[in-house]
Amino acid sequence: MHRVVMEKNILEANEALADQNREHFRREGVFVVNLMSAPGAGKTSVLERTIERLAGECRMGVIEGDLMTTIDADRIRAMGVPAYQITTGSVCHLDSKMVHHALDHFDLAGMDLLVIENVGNLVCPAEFNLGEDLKVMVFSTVEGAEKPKKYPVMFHEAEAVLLNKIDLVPYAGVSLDELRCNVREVNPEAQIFSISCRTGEGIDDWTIWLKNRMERAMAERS
Amino acid sequence: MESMHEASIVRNIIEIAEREAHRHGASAISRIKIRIGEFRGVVGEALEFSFEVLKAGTLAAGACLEVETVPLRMSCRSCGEYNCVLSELSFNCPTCGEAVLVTGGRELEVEYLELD
Repeated sequence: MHRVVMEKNILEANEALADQNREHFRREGVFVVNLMSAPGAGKTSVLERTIERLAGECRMGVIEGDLMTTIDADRIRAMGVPAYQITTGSVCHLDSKMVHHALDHFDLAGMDLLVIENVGNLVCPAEFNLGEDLKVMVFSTVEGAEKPKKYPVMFHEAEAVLLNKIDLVPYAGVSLDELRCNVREVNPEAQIFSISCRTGEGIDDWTIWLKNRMERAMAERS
Repeated sequence: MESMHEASIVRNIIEIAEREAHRHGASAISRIKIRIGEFRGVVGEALEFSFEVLKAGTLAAGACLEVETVPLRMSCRSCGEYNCVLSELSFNCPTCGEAVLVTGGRELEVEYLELD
């Protein structure tokens, strides 16, 4: 028996492919968002509202990750935006290899903004970089103000946190102030947006921020 | 959900270990020691469970997986480093209120192998 010291990153294979994806995105001149949330928080609805606001200003594309069905990609295509569906079967998150394979079939030419909608899950997706420029998390306010403390990793990893369904706050007995405060506790730097995909409240603030963030990143690249 | 992300992580651990074992011409892996930061969304028990299932038919079939959980450590410029309970995570120093940084608890690494 002999001992071999390694001190090796367990996710190095995922990181290496994420780097390749990042190179690919740079070559194509596309800004990439990894959109994460628990199931049912409203990722696809956020995408639909974002497309309505930004489709006239930039060329968008979407990669959808789901356990099964092409329902989400169909919703996006119905809006005239190219979409590619990854069905993971039973895997609870997207990894860089799945995105890498998707890029063999999904042409990014002429695209400015690619949103990768991750599998609905509040834990696993946070661990796997895809090569994105920006991690965004959607949280459904009605799920409770304490969740950032229970699931700190994803809240911490996200650069922007969208608190969705604020139109339901009066019925849910959730304090939006307490929720925002709890997000700040685990991620003091987070950009927090209170939004409702149903009423459209707050969507402009989010999309204006996203567009500025994208333009800043693209300016830094060149 | 049938496939936890811990299963993906264990597959990576076994791949890394097997590649290293081949490099050393070893016939079997007897122990894999990993370090998992508390501030990662990874559950040690789920890793151990997945490992027992996924090691079959690999060079690690007879191996034991040793999981060390690395506590969350924060660092304050004025007050120095301290351990933080994850459920009480705060990015303000409990002593002086200054903004603090995470310095430990984000690990996800294969520390060492024991090969036969």
